[in-house]
Amino acid sequence: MNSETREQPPPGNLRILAITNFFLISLMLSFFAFVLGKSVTILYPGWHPIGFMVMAFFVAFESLSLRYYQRRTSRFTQNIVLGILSEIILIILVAKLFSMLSEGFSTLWMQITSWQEDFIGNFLDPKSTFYIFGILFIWMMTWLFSGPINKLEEDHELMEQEKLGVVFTDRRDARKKLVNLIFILGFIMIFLASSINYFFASQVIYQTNSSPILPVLILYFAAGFVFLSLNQYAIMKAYWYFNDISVNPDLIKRWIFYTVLFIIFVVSVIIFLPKDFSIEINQFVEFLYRVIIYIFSILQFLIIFPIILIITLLSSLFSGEPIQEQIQDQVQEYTPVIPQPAGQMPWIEVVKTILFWTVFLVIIIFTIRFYIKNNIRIRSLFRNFPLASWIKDFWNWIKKGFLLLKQETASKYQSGIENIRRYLKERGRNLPKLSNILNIMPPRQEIIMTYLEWIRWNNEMGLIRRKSQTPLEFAQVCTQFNNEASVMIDDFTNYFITARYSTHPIEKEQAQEAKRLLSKLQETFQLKHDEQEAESE
Amino acid sequence: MTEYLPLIVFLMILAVIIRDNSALTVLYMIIGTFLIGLWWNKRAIKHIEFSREFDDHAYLGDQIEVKLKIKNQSFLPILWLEVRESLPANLSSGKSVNNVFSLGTYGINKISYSLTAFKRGYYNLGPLKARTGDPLGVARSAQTDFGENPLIIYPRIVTLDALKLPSHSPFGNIRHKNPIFEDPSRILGKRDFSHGDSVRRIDWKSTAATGKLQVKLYEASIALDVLIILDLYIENYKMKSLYNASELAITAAASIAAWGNSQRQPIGLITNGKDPLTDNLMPQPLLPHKGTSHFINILEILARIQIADNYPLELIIHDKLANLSWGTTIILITGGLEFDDLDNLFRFRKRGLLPVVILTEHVPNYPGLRDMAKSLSIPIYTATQIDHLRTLGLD
Repeated sequence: MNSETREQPPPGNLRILAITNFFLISLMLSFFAFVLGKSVTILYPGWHPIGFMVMAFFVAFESLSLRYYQRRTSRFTQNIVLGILSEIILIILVAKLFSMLSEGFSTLWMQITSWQEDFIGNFLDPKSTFYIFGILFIWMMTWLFSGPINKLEEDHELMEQEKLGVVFTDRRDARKKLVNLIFILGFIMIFLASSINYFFASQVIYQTNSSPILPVLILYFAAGFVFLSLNQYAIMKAYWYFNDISVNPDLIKRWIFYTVLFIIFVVSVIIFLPKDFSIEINQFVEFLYRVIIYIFSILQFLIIFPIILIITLLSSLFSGEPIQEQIQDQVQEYTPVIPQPAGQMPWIEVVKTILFWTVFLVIIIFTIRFYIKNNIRIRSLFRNFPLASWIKDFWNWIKKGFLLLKQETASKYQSGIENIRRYLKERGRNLPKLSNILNIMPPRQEIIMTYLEWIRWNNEMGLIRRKSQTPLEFAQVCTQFNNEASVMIDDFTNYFITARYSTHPIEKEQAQEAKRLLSKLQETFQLKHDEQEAESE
Repeated sequence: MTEYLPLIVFLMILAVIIRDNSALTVLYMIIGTFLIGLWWNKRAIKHIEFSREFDDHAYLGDQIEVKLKIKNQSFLPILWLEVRESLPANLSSGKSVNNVFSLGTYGINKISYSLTAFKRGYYNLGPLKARTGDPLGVARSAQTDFGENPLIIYPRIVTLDALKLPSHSPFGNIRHKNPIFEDPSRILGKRDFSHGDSVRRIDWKSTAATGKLQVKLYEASIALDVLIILDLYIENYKMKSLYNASELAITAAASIAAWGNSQRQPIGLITNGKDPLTDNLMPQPLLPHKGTSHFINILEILARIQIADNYPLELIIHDKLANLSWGTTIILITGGLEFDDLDNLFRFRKRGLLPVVILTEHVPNYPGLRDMAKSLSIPIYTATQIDHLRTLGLD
């Protein structure tokens, strides 16, 4: 039936998809570990988390893979507690090893021998404790991710059961959990990064130490968005599967490609967005106010100047005083004052600031508007607000005014363009109008042209005459449409038939009568059309 | 994701207040992803061009190949596009045309499917419902409907080998035994002049060649102007056989029209059924005319026509038959016949028209009707099955 196949994707592809998901989660958690490590170094400057990020990545990947393979095994056939305990012990040992290696190979043996004296104290020294607990925290985070991600897996056996209504998997809920996790971790990272920036800024070593945090944050969210996009695909895929919609096998490749392209595009756009400003918002508003006043004063000047000029000229004409001085005085009165933005700032700074505030305010306003528009609760809250209807009316009034202005401008512009086009088209031609043509025609031709005009008019109104229809047949159609005008239609058609198909002499009066009938018919038919339209509405 | 928007806005304001550029950059990125996703979602659907290619006229039993062409008219790729084609239940064999694919910059996707013309009628293919969205699912998917295209399936046509219809119209192209219908355009031969021959018949060229007066012999021929009156008034059909009998009546009308067209005779059609193309009104009567285009017009009406309860048979007989030319054959195809109908038809016979009745159902008072029709010289045929139509005219 279709050009596409309804085949299921090979298991290899599904495995690649699962591995990609695990990779992205591990990457995000390793970025999180990086920021976490940076934050700990502020609290405990002696700690150098070498390999902490890499370790976090591998622990997360291992943990996610293990959960994936254990997802279908029964809890009764496997000792889960024992498995988790051994996993924890292994992670602690590896973390300790990495922590010791960060001190250097030379101290490795010394540290191991020191365990014999005081195991707890020497094994869990402050540096290793941060390391081990940090890695364990990442490991626990993977537990939070693994549950929902396994729910979103494209498992055809399970989906078949779901299709039959045997089981149900709440994929939307699983995705929501993942979104929450990514955003919560992301906001924690932003908070930590801001704290680090603030700390280093106060220590005046900002440039040297905190610069990699921004790329890490961007990469975290980029990986997060790619991951969410893959989840969206999983949800859509399940939906298409349940609705028997065949999916192009290339869709997943394109999906990933376009998502990556999309994220790159977003990142490229935000790089060029202005993020720095030199003028505070109150100064910016003040500047805007001055600009508006400046524009108004120019307009005022342009409007009033010619009037003053005329009045002055007239008054001096009758008083006999010299004109030149008076005009100069009046003109000086209306010279607009050019607004000066915040002190003696370079113009590039002013432009950058204007751009920043414009972009910032537009984004904020659009986002709030979108949120309110899509949130039923807030909308209902607004409705119950006492001044809501007044604000709404006021807003609609402004909107309507703008729309009207836009329409008026567009129509004026359009008509202007049309006039120019028409002028250019008809330049050099002096085409006579239809009425003029009819007036200079012999009566027979005049009736024929009038009838053709009748056909054209009806075609425009939707009463189309087919080529195969004779005048009498068309007259029948017209009569069916408007029975009240049957006599006029018959007379008019007879005029045409006589003019077109007979050799009887045709008088000017007959042509006049045909034209009169045409206008009368158009009038009655127009009324009928209007009635029908009103009925259909 | 939308539930995080207030928090993001708050953090953005906070970042501006504490002048943290890196935090603002990241928040810009989050909100940018959101806003650009929204814009993509809205814009992508507006730039889709769609076309449906197929043969919009088909005969019963034909396979109709339909090709859908979906084109992205923008540089902006469409991540996923879900299309669902609405198909008439009478034509599809239970399979649906639902696809999801991706369209690159100015990309094109072609989908083809086939339909089988199981039943005559006027159908609409479509609308095609299209849906698309952004990669993160930030906004509700944008959707649009693309238009419908009409498809006409002609009624079945049966070969009427044995059909013989009465006519009194001279100068046609059907041979006739009766010498009163001699056609001066069809010369049969020549013979010697005999006393009483008209001077107009003398063939002067042959006379000059043979040295004796020769007269032309003409072949007799008739023209068979046929007007089919297809009665689809619901009251004239029995409830239990309503569908079969009415469809058989339509098949009979189409077959007679095809027969007339093959004989190059003028054929017309009047019916009291309803036409879905003209808001279920009665279609305009088609008076007898020759030509394939006229025949196609008749077939199109027969393809669309549906049984109706608006106009009884008497109404259309009285209204529409007044202007027919002398000698026209009227074929009334109906599911039920009354004595009054025969009386009406006889009135037309007296005016020079030649009525014939084809019944597509068994009527209870058939012997009485047959006797009355015989006495009025109105032939009655009964065809309650398709096979009966093939032998129509063989008594």
